[in-house]
Amino acid sequence: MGMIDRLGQNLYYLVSIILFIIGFHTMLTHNNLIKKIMGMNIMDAALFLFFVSIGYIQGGQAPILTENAGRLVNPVPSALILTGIVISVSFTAFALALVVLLYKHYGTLDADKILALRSKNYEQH
Amino acid sequence: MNNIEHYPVLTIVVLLATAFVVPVLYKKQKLITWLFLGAGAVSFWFALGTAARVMSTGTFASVLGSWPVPFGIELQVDALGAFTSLVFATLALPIFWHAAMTAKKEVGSVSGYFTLLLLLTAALHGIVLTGDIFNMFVFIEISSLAAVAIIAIKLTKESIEASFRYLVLSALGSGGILFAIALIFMITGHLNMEFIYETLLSTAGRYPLNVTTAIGFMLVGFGVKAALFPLHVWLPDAHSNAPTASSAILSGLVVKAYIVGFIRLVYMAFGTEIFLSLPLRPILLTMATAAILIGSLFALAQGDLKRLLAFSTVAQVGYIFLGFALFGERALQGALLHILNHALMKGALFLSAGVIIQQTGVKKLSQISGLGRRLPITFGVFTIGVLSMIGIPGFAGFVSKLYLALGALDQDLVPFAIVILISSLLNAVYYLPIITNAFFGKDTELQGAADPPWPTRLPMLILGGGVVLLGLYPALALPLVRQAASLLFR
Repeated sequence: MGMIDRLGQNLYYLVSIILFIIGFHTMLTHNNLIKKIMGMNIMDAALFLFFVSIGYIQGGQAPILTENAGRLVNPVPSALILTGIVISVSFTAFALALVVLLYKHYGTLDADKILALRSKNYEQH
Repeated sequence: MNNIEHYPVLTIVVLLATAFVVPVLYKKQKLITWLFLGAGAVSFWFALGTAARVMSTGTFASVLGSWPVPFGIELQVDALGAFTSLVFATLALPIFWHAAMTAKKEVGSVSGYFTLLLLLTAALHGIVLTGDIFNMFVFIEISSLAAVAIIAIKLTKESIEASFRYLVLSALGSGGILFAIALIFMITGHLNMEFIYETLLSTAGRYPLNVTTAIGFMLVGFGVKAALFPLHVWLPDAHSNAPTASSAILSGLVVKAYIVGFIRLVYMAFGTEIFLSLPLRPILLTMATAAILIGSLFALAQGDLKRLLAFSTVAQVGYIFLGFALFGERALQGALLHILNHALMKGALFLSAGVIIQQTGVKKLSQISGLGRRLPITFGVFTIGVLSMIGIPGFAGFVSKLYLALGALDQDLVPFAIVILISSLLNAVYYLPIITNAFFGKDTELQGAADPPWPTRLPMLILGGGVVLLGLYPALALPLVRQAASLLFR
């Protein structure tokens, strides 16, 4: 019972760790460049969930001061994560732009094939 | 000058503001070149003022937007930050100059290149000056994106492939750093380093897992970005396929900023007690030693001039981490001096290598034979860089290596002093043949090749001169370095 309770209380953390591992794994093991970028986004989303849930309390209200304000959610993590999302979006946009250029040059999205093409190219020089 | 506490902010703001003006004026080539160089010069002036202030009155804070800490963001300017910021500002000047001279031939968009270089330098100053860890994260992200972009802007097949790999690994590192920040925020509720330090004194014991995990993620995050062996896999391709000025700035400044960021977090946010209570020191010592030896061995096997220099950077990053992990005052002084000295000598090497490639088209070491007689000045600068890398007395590299070796002996860790010696020998083995071959080798058919005109010669001559100057008068940099090292052992 204790175990289940603790899992329930820390559900957000648990989910974010699982997401983090999925993203990390996708990023490192998949050869497809687009999938790598998707993995990067999943990993970022996991981090955002983790960060935001630090400041969250069950049943808390938005931190707007009214006459009878009850328990308030910590607004700092949410504010920080807004910045984090912007950063993540710019990383994604830039990475996708690079993928377009890579596809133009090599004609494939497979990281291994690109590497093979590149080293062949390198030996010829 | 009573508004000197704004100088560190202005160092960053001048660069950032110019970075946004340059792309608007992209049609006026002359104007943006002067703006670009002017911004570098003005930020150098402010960095100088900051360093002078720190040397006379010690650490000071610069509060932003008049929100008091811990709610607002402040720049916590100590001797370490002021020193590194001054190194960045000083080195940026000749590199910017070289970029202004060569950008048209090397990159796709000149105004875009200037913008990225300005953004990158601004972010580097931010990383070493800020007192707020989330602010540091934002600067790290700006610098990562800009660093990837100044490689990709060359628009060749190889540079785009290298920069994509760099981007993916860099994003991984950012993830690690952000996770570490979340874990620290979870147990302290603060983002300001001073406040984190004070809170951790009481809460770290209660949440040992959080602290350990945070430091682990931080090590990996900063390790990837600073190319600490074995997380360096992206570096050789990225640094060797970049435009010349980018290579110099990436090898000389960018990796250093992450190292200093890591040192600042470890010493100022976590404190030395936590650092020593975890097995972080042996891990760092092992990684640094492996970096020094294996980086040099890899460099030995390279046939491409710029790739050789890039692998040598992997080894030099090892030196800096070694000095930091030895955990003595003198070793740390050595590490900080090496940040400056390596930036100077690698800057000189990369700029002269870039000039060699541009003037002759030669990239392979095997084709370099006899070129030293055709380009005496360029190869002269290259020779100065090489001698300093090996650690010949009279050149800057010798001083910092001496301090590192003495630092190892201070801690009775003789093997590390021997590692430094072996690596110096390896450096000699892979660097000296280039020089002898260039000056005394057989002539090639490249009859027309000659030194570039003066404006392009000057930046590398300045860097080469800096290497000799600091080798003969290391006292120029020592006061600030001493102050920084003593501050961290509070």
